[in-house]
Amino acid sequence: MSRVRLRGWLRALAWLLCLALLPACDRDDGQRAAQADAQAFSILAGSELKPLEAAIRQAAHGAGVELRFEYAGTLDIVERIEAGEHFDAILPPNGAYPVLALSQPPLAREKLFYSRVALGVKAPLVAALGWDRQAPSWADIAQLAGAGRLRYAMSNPTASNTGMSALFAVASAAAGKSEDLRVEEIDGALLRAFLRGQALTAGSSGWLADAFVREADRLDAMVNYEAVILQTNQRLPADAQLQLIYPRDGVISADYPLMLLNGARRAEYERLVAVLKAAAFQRDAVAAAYLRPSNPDAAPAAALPDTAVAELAFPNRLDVVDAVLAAYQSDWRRPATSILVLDVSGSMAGERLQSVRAALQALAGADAQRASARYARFQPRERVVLITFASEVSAPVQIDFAAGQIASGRDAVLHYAGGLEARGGTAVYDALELAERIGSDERTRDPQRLVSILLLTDGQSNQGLRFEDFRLRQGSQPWVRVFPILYGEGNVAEMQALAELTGGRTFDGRKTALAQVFKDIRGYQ
Amino acid sequence: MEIRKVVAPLLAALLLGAVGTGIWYSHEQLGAERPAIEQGSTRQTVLHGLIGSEKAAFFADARVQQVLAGHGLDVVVEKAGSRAIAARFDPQHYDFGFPSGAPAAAELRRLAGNPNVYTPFYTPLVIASWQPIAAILVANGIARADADGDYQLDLKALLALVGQGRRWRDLPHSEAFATGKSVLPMSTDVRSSNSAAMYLSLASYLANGEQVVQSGEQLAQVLPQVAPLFLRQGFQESSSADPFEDYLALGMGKAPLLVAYESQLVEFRLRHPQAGGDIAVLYPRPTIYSKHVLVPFTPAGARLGEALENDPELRKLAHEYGFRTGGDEHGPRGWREQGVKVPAQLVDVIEPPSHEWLERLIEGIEQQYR
Repeated sequence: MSRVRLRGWLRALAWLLCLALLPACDRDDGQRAAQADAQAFSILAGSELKPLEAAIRQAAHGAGVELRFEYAGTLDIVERIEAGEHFDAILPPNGAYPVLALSQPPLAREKLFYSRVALGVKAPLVAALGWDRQAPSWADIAQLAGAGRLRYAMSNPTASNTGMSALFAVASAAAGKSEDLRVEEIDGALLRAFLRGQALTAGSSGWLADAFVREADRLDAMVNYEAVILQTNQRLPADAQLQLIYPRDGVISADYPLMLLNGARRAEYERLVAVLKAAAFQRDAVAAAYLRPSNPDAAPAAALPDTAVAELAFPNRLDVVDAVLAAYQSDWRRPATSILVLDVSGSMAGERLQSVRAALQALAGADAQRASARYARFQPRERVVLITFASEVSAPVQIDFAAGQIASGRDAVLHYAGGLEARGGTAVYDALELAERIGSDERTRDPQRLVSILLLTDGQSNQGLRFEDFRLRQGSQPWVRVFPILYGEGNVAEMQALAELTGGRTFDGRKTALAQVFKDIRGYQ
Repeated sequence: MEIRKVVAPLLAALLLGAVGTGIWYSHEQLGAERPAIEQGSTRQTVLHGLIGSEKAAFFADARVQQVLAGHGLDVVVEKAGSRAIAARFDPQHYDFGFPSGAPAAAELRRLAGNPNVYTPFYTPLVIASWQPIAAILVANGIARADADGDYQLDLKALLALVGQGRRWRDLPHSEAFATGKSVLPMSTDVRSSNSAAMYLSLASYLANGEQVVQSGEQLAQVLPQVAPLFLRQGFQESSSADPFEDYLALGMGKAPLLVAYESQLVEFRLRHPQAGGDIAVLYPRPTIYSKHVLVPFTPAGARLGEALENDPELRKLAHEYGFRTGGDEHGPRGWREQGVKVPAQLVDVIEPPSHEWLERLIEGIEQQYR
């Protein structure tokens, strides 16, 4: 009581002080909000948890803990902590990778709920394949995918936990092991066959589900959390409903450990864990979202199968994790053609152009100390097309990262970045039209390639085609996905419309360094 | 601006007055309330301790806290792996350590200057499993059902299967779990957790011709047989509570065989009489007791140990959490009345190696994690 009263007094005094002495008191409310935010218990969480944030906040509030959330993929969570960013706790989907990779082990960890990574397959196909009678093995799935008979959506394993879990499950199953996978046991041929079916990729499991809903016509299946698959079904038409398939050699589940990093906030952490593991939250929020409760007093949703599914072990050595992820990017996955469309109009001069150079240097692999930088840089077999535009569109520069040409490819990107100069107007859609044409030709020439366009512009298109012309001139030709970066004085609404039109998504470069934004987009390429 | 210039000094003066009044008022309030806090109870000593994770729920129980308050003890605990508790010995911050397992406690006791220690709870090591799995083991002559619905497990025969790298689908009569998963009990990380160390004690005893390991020669011979039990598991959790949650939440597919404490299963069954019909408890032969040893660093810590060992009410509460205790009532009889039947006496119980030899075994395995 008395402490509360004292705090009330101090607040009143601060207000008086402010009124008396500071001319800038109008900012008080904003400052107070920022201060409250700075005092909140901060959590860096897996991005698929966003839909649960409101429920978590509410439960925490009831326990007297105010929360501040930021979101990232599992690898990025680890790297941001390692880079010295401050968070009181992390909430990754799977605890294994952070425990192996963090140099300071978490002070406490408590699993909040679970979700298996499963394959959601359209019901008629399940019936046709007889998978409703007997679950397939991963090898069966790989064979179908390799033969072009199973097109599925799966997130990029170097950016997202569902892709990573599925990749390790296939790698283990292919090696005939349920645990303790070693690098030399991995069967690359089977993994390549499996990955031939990856017709849609993404940097996050949530966006993958959104894209699946939009593109369900051309896809047969989706690798995702069972919880996300069941949620997605609510947005899918009757003929596109996904049935949960757990390959019989096993899966790897997410176990959502809340990991305490800041020992000074242990008391709040304990309260938070208690309220999040309480039967009420586990029933009303966890089970309702099709996640599996960690509290046995809360029953899982009836839609979740309770059949025994073999659980495969996550490797216990970081070098195995690293080798598998590196091989995915450089060797097993479908190669990418990445078209980068970059604004070099006058307004980009100075710091902005310097940021673009830094981002390109990062993708060239200039600083590849960190694992995610190694996975994000241009990869063997990748084809990179660089297009700059100002008042006019420059001739595209194509750089192939074919075997034996990796070093020269990187040099070419660095040289290109060094030569960028900014002047003139902004012909966004002339450049995009060219990029779409190149992308479309790429797909025709090599249907195995995953083709996408990154667009960076800091202003309104003021020369050449307008958005409307660009849209109409495409006709019935399928779009190559565009990932526009919101930047500078760019037209936010138009960039969002562009992303939606082409099946891409926007990324915000107004607050985040361009190098980081480029890296995030790499998860989608 | 002009008005502000005039008003500011006035407000500042007002402010100083207000500060004074506020401090005086708050102080008065604090003074008035303090006696009320202590009224009706003895002087409370706040004490901090590091405990094995499986005892966290016991200390979090409001009834336990109330009984302890009656002893004048307000206990704040932090969970840690039992091996880590010795590593984090710090009498400046903690009043006691309460690891599971006599070897971990022995080292902690040495660090603490050999105080008298307390052993209020103990529990045997078991294998938590599922009825379909138990049926496969029975059909293969490795387990045998006993009258109360539990199973006696021939641990030597099971570890032989593990050593051969057998998978469940390779075993005869394994239709109920015909997966490619290896026959390999899941445990915690032996580098940090006591339940894994107890499992290692059992496995090393069997690998050493049913002798407790106590020489370098024996160690060298045993290590290649026992290290794979842990190394082959892939990523492991560092404390015993996590895998038990996994076992309950993800079921047979995650953990057909889980190295666990009897206390974890008894507690779960007492609390959920309707659930867990599929759970099977395998009592390995031989088995080992995990002793929960409280090592006090301060007089307050010793008072806690005293209370836990001797207060019948605390012992009764400990039984609710599945721990066996000393005293007239050890636990099993009361559990049986509530429908949870466990063997009252276990035969064929071995002792763990000394702390020194257990450490050497663990270090031998640790080196192979690279």
